Amino acid sequence: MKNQITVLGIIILFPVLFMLSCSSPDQKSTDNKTATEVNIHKTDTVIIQQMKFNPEELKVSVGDTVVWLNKGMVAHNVTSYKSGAFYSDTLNVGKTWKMAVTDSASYFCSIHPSMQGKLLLK
Amino acid sequence: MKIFNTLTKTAICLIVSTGLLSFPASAQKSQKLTDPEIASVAVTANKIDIDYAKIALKKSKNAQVIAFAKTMAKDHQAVIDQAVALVTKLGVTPKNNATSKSLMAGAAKTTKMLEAKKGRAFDKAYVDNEVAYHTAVIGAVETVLIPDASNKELHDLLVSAVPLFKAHLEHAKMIQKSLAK
Repeated sequence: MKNQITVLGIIILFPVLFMLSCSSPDQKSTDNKTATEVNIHKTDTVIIQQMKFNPEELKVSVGDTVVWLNKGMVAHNVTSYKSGAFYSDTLNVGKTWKMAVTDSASYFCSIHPSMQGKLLLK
Repeated sequence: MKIFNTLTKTAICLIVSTGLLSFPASAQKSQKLTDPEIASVAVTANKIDIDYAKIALKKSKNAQVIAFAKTMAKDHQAVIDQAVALVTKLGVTPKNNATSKSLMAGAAKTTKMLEAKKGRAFDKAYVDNEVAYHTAVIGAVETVLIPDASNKELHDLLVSAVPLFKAHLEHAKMIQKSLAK
């Protein structure tokens, strides 16, 4: 009886252990892929200060992330000149907004229209 | 440099004296303003533009003018908040003075003029005044308040406010052009 239980246990456990051992490399592979993607796409920061986007022109690749950080005195936003392409909420002082790059773009602060910036594809 | 400053101050006096604007002659004279006086002038000058914005928000139906007035109200309040936070930290009490009093007197005249207008005439008068007022304020901050400020933090706050006022001026000029069409 005891031997039968042991054999039954092995029969049940074996497939489970087998499946786990097979799934682990896949998981590692996915992790590696993610790590590779992270390495390919970089993150750049545009500092909003002294009523300017710094840098005003940023060279980027599709898939990169751009973070805008408001270090100015007042609230700003980031709005594409191309209607509806992208726009941030109002960025209060000290706040950030980020976006994944899909194309080159010209943008401005719609609160202070003299503030302008560009994302240029490499 | 001294000659340049004198010329700039004279130019501001001329701009101010030709209109309802109001950086008074006392702000341009050679007598140095103290930090409490500078704090008072800075807060008063910002408060005046908030009051103009309130009139615009009450009277204008032009979307551009309304958006601009909202920005003026928020931005100048932000400058006041930072100035008040700084003088509180420094233990400086803003001191009413001839310049801030004269600013208020000039603002009363401008307010009366704005209140008397309506429609497109109001929009034009408000935006024209914003162009003239910001021009005068930038001149006064650059040639009087910044050079006279003794405390470094007060000096730096005034310096960092100049690009904001210049952006406001550019924005006002954009609307002025658009209203002229």
